[in-house]
Amino acid sequence: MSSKAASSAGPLLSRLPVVVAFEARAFLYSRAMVVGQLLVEPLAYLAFLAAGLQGWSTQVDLGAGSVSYLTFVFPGVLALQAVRALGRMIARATVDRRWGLLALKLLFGTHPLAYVLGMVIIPMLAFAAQALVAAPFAILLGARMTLTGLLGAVVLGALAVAFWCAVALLVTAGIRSYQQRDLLIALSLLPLTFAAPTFYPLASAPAYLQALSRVNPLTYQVTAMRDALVGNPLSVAAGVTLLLSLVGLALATLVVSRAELLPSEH
Amino acid sequence: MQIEINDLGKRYGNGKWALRGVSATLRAGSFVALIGANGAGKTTLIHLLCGLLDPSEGGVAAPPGLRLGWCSQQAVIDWYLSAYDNVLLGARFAGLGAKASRALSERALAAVQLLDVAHRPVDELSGGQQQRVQIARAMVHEPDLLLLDEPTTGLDPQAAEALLEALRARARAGAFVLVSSHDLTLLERYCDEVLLLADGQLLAFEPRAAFLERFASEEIIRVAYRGALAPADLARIRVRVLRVTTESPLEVVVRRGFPVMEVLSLMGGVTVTDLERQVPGLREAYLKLAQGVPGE
Repeated sequence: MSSKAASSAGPLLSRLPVVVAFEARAFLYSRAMVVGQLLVEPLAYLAFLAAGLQGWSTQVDLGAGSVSYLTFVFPGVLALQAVRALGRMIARATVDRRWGLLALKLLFGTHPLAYVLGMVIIPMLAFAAQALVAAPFAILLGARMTLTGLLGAVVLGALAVAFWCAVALLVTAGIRSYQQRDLLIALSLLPLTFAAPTFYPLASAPAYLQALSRVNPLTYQVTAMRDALVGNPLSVAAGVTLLLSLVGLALATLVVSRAELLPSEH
Repeated sequence: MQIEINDLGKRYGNGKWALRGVSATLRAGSFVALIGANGAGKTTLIHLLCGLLDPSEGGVAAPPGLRLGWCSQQAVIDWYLSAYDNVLLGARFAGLGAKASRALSERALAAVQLLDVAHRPVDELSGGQQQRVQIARAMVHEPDLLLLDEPTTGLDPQAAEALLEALRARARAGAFVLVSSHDLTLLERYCDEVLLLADGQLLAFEPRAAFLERFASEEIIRVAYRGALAPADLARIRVRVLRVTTESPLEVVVRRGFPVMEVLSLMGGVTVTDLERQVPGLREAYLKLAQGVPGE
């Protein structure tokens, strides 16, 4: 005997386009956020932080050769944007859970995998748009990159976004209030961003930061983007980045499939 | 076509049974009023039928492929979307195509009189309008099974009336309709059957008329008159009615459906100036049950 009256069975990814379509609508809901946070922010980092630091450190040694500080820091700025997807996805997924929308979507036959993929696709595309808008500005300031190098970095950065979004979906399963959500976002972003070679090479960092960076996924993601940007897209770091994203998405799918649909019930 | 609820029970993590031993057969085309006090298990029953909760015991057997329309007691709203998009979401996730979904969403919004604010963000709408967005979303895809948990909360009387009229129309079209509400006077006018829960137990599930007959079997007839009622007439009246509450005005308690003329014909020598008949409904029946008066 079934436990429910309504039928919810559906093909694996049949609702994926629908999830993506509504995430796109929700994304565009706040146009000020789209323009300000997503497009202006990376330009501001490049103009006010990276360009300023370039005068302090003109060349950075990558092992296989040295690059200008702006070429070094451009993937770092992109990585910062990738990790910020974590906060935005926590906010979005909390609305879905807190307001019963996840329950509604799953009840109507959305497979958890379609839900997870649908939730991460728009942030990945937004990241790609950010990178493609920021790249000409970075070149203007003095960064050097090829088109294929940039595209490789964008693909790996988008994978990083998928990973952080998956982490957000995992974390959201345990969030019971907006206070918890805001605290988590505030506490996680800063150490994640700076315990990785985003704005400076790790060789010059203290030992504890170097140790922390080794267990920070962002280290591998920014390294993979940086390697791709200088013409080596198939690095070990790229493999780690891909693996992290796949594992993250798989775990997020598992957690969503087992999620309590009515967390307020007791 | 029917849905069999078989010995359904739900125990939450705190060990408390929110619902236990509920068995009932829901019939397609019937509008069922789900009533009971707060905490009686109404919402738990709806969530079990939806599949939002897994039963701790028993289960539900339903025809395959039923399209569900669910309206929660709490706002289930995407605050990042407009009212229109929230309704469209219901149609698209229910599996309808883009074109049909757009047309049906506009129709559903028109039905709940929200077309003029359809493209405004939901958080700019009033509580009642947000509730109507939910209702439009629950009904946009013309579901076969409508489970609505206190859908009239926050609605003005006309909107509540229009909603129940629309639900009855869906039932007449062959849908299963189960609606919980505390607005019993309104529910009584539209429902076909009454399912009463108390402390997680099924107290009654029967056609409205039978329910009222069982739990609201007495009527009050009040007759104002000029002149003096003869003691002999009063004695005859006492024999015919269940009891006489007051003599002037004359107030008597009778069986449901008792002919008023029988009382009036026994009131010789007086001039009747006013006549009032109080027919108890679902609300009175419920209140009587809530006070622990057993059914007959």
